[in-house]
Amino acid sequence: MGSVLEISDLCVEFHTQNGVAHAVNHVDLSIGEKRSVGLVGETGAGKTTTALSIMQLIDLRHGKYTSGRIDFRGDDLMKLKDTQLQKIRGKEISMIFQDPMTTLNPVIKVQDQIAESYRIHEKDSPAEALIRAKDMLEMVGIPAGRGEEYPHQFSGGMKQRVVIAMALTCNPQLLLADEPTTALDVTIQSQVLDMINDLKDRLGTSMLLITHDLGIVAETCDEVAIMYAGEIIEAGALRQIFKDFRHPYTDGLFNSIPSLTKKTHRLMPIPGLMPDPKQLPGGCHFHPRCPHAVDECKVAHPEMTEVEKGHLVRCLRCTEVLSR
Amino acid sequence: MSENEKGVGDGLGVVGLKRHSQIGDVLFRFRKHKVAVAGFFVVVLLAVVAAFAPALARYNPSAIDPVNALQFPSAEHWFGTDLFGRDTFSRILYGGRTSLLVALLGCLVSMVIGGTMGALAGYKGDKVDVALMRIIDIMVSVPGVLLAVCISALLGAGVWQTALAVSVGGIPQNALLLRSTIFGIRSQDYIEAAKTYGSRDLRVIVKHVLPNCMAPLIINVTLSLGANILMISGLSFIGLGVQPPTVEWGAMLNEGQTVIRQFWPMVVFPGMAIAISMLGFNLFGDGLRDALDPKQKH
Amino acid sequence: MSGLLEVVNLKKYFETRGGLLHAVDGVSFSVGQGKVLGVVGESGCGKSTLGRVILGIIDATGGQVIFEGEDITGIRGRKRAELQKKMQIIYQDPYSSLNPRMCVFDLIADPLQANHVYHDAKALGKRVLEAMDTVGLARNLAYSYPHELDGGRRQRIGIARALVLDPTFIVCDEPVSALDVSIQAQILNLLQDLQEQRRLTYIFVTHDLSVVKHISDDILVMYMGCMAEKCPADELFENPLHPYTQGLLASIPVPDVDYHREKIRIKGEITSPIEPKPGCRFAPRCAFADEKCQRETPVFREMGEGHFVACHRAGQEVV
Repeated sequence: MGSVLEISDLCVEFHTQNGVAHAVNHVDLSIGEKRSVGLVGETGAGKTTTALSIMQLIDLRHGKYTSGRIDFRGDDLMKLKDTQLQKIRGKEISMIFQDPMTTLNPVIKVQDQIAESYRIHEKDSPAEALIRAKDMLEMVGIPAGRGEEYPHQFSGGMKQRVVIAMALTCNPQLLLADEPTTALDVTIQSQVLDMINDLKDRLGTSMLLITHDLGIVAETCDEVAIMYAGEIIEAGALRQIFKDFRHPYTDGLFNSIPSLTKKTHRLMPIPGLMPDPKQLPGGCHFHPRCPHAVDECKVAHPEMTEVEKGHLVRCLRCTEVLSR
Repeated sequence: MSENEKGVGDGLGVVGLKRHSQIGDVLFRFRKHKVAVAGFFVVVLLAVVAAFAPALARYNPSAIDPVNALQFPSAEHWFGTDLFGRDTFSRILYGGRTSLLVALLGCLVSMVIGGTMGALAGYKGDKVDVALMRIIDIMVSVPGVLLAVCISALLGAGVWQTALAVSVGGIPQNALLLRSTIFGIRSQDYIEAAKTYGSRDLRVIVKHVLPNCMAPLIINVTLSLGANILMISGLSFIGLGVQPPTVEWGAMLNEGQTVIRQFWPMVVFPGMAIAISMLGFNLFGDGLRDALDPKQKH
Repeated sequence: MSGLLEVVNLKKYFETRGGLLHAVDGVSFSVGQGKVLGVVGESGCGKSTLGRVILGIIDATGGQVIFEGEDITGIRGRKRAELQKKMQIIYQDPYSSLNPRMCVFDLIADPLQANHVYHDAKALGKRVLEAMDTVGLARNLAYSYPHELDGGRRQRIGIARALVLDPTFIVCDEPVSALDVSIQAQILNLLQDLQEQRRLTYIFVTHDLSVVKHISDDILVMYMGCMAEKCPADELFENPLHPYTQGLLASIPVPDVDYHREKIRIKGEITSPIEPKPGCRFAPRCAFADEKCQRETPVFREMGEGHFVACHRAGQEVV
């Protein structure tokens, strides 16, 4: 099975008044055809920066790609010119953002917003694009007639459906979804997730789903990558990560969530805070918070180790602790 | 930051820690803003000029010397002389004094009256708000120049009348600013929290509302001082503002316009004075706006 | 049955352009001393308004709030200020709930100063630093400003401020929703420890069912201003009776790849309870609704021991 997107050794840094923030450090990630990959991490882990790098939308006034390749269908996105990228963005790769309220233009009719990207990329006549827009609305479960309305007449869940319709109009090969349901209520979230899953299967789209919610990952993804301090610290198939996680941070994440199915009196959170990307701790970035850290962890930066086929862990002690 | 408990002191004083006021942070951020610092120096210069005009001026600004009329800039008369041979440099110094004083007066009066109206409207809301805002609407609907014309028609032209016109003209802006600021603050959770733990109204206003209004208020003062100087000059230029023998930049421009094609110094120097002071206040105000925001990184 | 706090048929209506919005409509419950009542529901179900009406921040339109056996609805002035020392609130947003112009020390000291608890600066300082210790804020942060701290620490300030007057009752309004999972767990543990050590009574308002299950003794599910279901926490997850609760539970994504369950999806979206018609408010979204549900408002009735539900059809058949 070929991969749609192959990121290798991606590094992104941001230059601020107080120093250089290492937002993404040596990330390798590959997304297979028709696969869904979940990118999980907390605020500041570098998830969104990774997605924006794929779209080549990092603000170059402050940000800088210091290394890496992003291979998409034989092209290295990092080397493409703006005009070439514009042809890819929205057509081959599209992105859904967290907040549907700010993604939609409040003064343009919903159907015209959906038709716009189709008109740009497919060079279709406005009338044809409009027909396509109405089809897309029906596809995300909104009556085509409501296309005449403006975004403010839609509820939050409906707006996110419209945003998804926009992203899928040109049948992209890859969909980047950045916390697509975080702003929604739980019943609406499940409706939208069902819809994304269904459309993705029907259209054969690959997806990178960025989220902090392991529950959503369990229900939507085939593979998972966990990010911490700009690095992927554990990656593998869904089952490998959920049933046989080896990194202490992944362990901490699971222990932080109150369980719905089991009875726990006390949570076992990870102590301390996410490190400042301007001053990442030496050695393993996680060692100051790690209950299993030994002296070596303070000096040696761990490389990804394959503990099982397809299951990679960035921990010196991955074969000792948490191994079952 | 370390979670380390070292350096923790006895009862009250935490050893090695000093209470730092936010003024230090503000100064630190402001100093980084080079252009704003330049603006600040212009403002200081203006204040010095206004305060020490008599000491700095080399001639009496009203002393007529027909023999030396319409002199171009020289070592004797740095900025040249006007139609009556009066020294332009000295007149600009004294003119700055008038402009700044009238602008400041107008600013303070409009801030006190407009600010109180706005604060009441914002804090009380409902009917008080509606009533006060209708008054403001009426004031906004009369253009500033028209207001000044009315005032000079009723009370004659002069320094005090100009100050009155500027004050009245500035009321709506101050009122609207304070009203919207307070509206914003009132809806913040920390105001609700303060009431929940039993703070009286007065305490809420003094400890929580006012400190959060100060930044926009200070910025508005600097920016409106610049705008007021421009308005005073404008009024004087069209003959409705400050009247001779009081010296004022706009009035000087007016005198100079009759000879604008033949003799440039009479127009260029007062014009530059107006432009530079206006620019100074604006740059200073913009710098303050950034520096006063506590969320700015430093 | 009487507890520390009792709420009887509490109502709060807001006037809107479209008519009266029934934000809280006939809510009754009682919470015992040292217990935690979780209030869950989607946005707009009235759960936050409920907390504020109980605290007297918003006036009730009808009904009673009884605290320590005394009707405190509509109490104002001096007496309210005394009451407020015992009833506090912790906010969701650790950004807008702290005055940006005050440092950590002043923020925590403010409730004490507002109530003139100490006249001696030294005693005041000691108390504030103790409060900082209690919530796990390093003392060397005393003179930091909120914007210099992360969300978790800011939330700790909010908790210290609520605790410093030694209240017996606290409304926690989504206190962990704005935080990352690892920080969320730290704050939840802190709230739980404080509750157990000081025998505090919480009303824990949240939209997150796993959080509410973890911390609560009893759970109240609200829908469009009304009570849908109320029962002990474990019972709610094992034996939900209201179709809304069932759908809500089935909608939560569970981080367990082996956990399979029947997918019950609630169709449609929550609307605003503006001038609601009689009948069950959940009926338009309910898969089991019949003609009676459209017509008659269901009574909140006891189905099992301590298990209340407002549904005509609950218990009739397997739903």
